[in-house]
Amino acid sequence: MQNSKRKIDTKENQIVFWLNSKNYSLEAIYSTAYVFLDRAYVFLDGDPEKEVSVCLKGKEKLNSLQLEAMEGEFLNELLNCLLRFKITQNNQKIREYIVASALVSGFPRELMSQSPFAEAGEDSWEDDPLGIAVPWEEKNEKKAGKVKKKHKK
Amino acid sequence: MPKIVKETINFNKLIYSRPCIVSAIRAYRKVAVFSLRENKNCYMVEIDKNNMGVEIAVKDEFCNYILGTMMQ
Repeated sequence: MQNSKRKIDTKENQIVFWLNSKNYSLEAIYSTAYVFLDRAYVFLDGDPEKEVSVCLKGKEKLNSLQLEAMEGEFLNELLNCLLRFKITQNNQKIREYIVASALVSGFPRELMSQSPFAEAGEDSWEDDPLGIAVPWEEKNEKKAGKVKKKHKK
Repeated sequence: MPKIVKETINFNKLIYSRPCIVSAIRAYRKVAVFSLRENKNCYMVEIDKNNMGVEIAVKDEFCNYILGTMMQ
């Protein structure tokens, strides 16, 4: 779908287009602009609550088609950044948990006994309170024996 | 008589932050003379390239530098 609101100025070697802030967050626009810094001069304006205008000025001389293509690439990258932000938000808790557990595992044992993580640190990997490490055959040996006896009767 | 080249850029306060603009001015102070003013809606940076003998697009590079620092 074509972006209807845009202004191409080949004399100035720039394209200006507007982004709806309801669809694109300012953080995502910053990230996308950062990606384009080496290819174009980027200038942002507008109201982050309503509409943000993006001005891309080519570092090299570009024709109108190339400027339009650059706008398209910017929009694609913007979607990429939005998705990354979404994933970052969704995975925030699990990332925090992984980092916290990694940091806690590095604590010395003496410190662990005084810390709130002491209870968690009491169980060693060899402990098996739920009997998970017991093989199925061993666990069900007695039951299987009883069943066999019943069949024999 | 050298040609006086002055350009003014208006940075929207809702998009650009003052510390980033100040750090960009610090980085570019050897390239041009800058003056920073502000009103209710924007920061106004006046760039004076006079007598510096610089041919690069200071204004555009300056804007890019600010956006770069905004991400840090």
